[in-house]
Amino acid sequence: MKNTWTIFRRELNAYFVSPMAYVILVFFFALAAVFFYLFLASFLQNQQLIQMQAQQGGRFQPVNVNLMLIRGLLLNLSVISLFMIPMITMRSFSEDKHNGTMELLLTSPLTNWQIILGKYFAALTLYATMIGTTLLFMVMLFFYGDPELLPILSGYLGLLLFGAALVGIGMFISSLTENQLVSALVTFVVMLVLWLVGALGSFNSTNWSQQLLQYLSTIEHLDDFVKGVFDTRHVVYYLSAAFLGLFLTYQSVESTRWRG
Amino acid sequence: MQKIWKILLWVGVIGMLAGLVLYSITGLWRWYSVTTEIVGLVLVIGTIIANFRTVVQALGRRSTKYGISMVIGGLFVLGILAAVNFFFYRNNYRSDWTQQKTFSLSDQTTKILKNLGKDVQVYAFWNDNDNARSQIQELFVEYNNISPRFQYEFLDVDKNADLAQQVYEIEQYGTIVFKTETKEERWEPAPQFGGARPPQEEDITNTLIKVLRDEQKTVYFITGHGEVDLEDAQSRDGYGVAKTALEKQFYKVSSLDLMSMDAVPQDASAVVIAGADKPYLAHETAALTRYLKAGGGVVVLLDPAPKPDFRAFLTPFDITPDNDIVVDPSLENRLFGGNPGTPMVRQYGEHAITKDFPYATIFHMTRSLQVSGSATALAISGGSAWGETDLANLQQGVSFGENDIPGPLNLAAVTNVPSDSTGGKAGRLVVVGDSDFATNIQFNTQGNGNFFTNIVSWLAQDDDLISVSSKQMENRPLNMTAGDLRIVLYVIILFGLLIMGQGVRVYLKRRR
Repeated sequence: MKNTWTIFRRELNAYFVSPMAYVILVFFFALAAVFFYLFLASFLQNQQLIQMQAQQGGRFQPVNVNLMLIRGLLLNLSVISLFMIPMITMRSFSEDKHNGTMELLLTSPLTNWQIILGKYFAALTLYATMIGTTLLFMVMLFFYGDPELLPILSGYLGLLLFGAALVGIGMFISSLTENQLVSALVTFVVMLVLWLVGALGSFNSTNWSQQLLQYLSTIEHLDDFVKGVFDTRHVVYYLSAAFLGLFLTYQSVESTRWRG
Repeated sequence: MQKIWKILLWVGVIGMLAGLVLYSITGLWRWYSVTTEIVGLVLVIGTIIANFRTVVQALGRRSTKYGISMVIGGLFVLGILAAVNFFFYRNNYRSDWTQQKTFSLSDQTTKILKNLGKDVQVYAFWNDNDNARSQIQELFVEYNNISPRFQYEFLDVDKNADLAQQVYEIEQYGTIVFKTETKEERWEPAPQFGGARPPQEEDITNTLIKVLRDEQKTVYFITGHGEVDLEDAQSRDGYGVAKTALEKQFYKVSSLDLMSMDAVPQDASAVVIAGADKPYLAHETAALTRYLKAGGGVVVLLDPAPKPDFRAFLTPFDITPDNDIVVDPSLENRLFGGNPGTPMVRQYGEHAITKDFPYATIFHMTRSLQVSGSATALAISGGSAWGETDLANLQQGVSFGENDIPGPLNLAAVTNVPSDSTGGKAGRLVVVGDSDFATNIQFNTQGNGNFFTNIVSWLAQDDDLISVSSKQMENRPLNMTAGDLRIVLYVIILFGLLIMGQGVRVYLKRRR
């Protein structure tokens, strides 16, 4: 545990003493802010239109900031994450391999799992910080309105689990190459495939093969969370994907020991 | 291994994969996919046999052993993960965290789905680019989550034109076909501007009930005494809208001339007496009484005098209509859209018909009812209403007098009629002091239509068809002006600059 903590701190320091983490944070925040602002402006415009219609004797139509703004925003955050996660995970093993520090790590008294978990949680913390910056938007929405809290919490829980899965997969890909650019590109492509796999067939039926494709798709599991619906199926899926990523990373690191 | 063998091995592997891809495209093992597969297989096996010694040597190597154990370990973990996911896919816990349970189905729908005795396949003919499609899909996902026997498929009418027109004879975009092994039902959207109206939970559940139901029940409306016109869907006072609503719930609706008959027909699931102008003959009420005691269901929709009060028929069942007209001059009644002669009801008795009934109902010119014994009140007026008994001087204005009946008053009542044979099914009787509430003009006002269809469903012993209340989105607006929007923008920019500033600080520090 202590060793994992040491690796975790070393990795986190490496992220935050280099400008890399800040570049990721600023990029992500800027894109998220653009989406938020556009969503907010469009929501207010809709709200105004509906109020005007009601004043002119039309039927009263409710507006709901959770359903009409936050839900769409959180889904979009996952899209932006798709571009950011490869940037977070690309360095985790590739950099050590490239700099030759991987041998040092492997010959140290640390176990493979300690190295992997330390690196994994550091990357996940950076991801969580990145997502956490958008809480500012929620604070502002609470200031100007009365959104429902629980669906927001479930949305963020979903985003965290979504990140946990993708960071795990990104780590595995990073462990395969010493070139950070290759690692980032391959991670992005794999994530894109996992994103779109649900739409490979027609994603609109309960036919088992299409259901399977839908089940494999990362986005299909996020939708319930951002709606405010908690389902253990999605939790199990994301945790399984994260575990699979970490297990494959372990296999990959282990193989460097005997492949030399 | 020689280079040529390596190339052949790769060609073989690619051939085998290509064969599988060809098979997956057509879904059939055609000659070309089989040939590709066989050629690939022969090349792979051939290469292994021709280089048998090299292969055995490679297998003996330490790295190969590690490699194989890694692959086996990987497959093992993958298998366990697949099993865990499959288990939780079938045994999941699902909880809607929204306050209004926006994404949950009603208790009634859940009950029906949990008891789904047969497979139901649903084909929704909604085009892929229709915005409403995602709403319906969300609903279908919830249905399928509760019962995997509820299966659905969306079919684009334009892309599946042959199937849509020749097999299912779809005439309208947005049609949804519900199929069981033996029966087919369909839901068709009412045409509206800007595309079809997507079905609500109520529509889907009721069509589901229809397709699951094996027999079509008949509801008779008695005629011949000046009752409402069942076929009139145009004028204010017709009952055509009510008839259509019942037919949508898979009832066969017919009129019945009881005067020329000795008994209510055997196939009657419910009998409606709506707004009769003249009293019924003795043999007619006797037939209705026999029908009730044999387990039938009757609803009597009265009106104030001079229309008949059916006292002789109803009093033995513990429901006695008053000879009055209900007046509710309260501000509350007016605020919610009523007027003194049209009391609004927002209080209901404890009964299956009004269980979780979320709507108000409006009764235009109604009598009040006295209940005793086994009868219970179903709809109750506000406390400020009274029953005006001075009907002769209504034109001169009304005020509460000593002969008037003080509120709250019963505007509808219900009772079970014991069977005259031991162990027989009890009859069901509902009386409403007003017949106007279900006319064409009033049917879709507030919850009037739901109240009426709920009564008929209960009488016909279809307790599951009691209407599902559609969920209304909760109003959660933002109180923001254009100035506030600018403040939001500045706060965002400031926050972004803070992160960037920290990054620049770290960068400069490192450079030093």
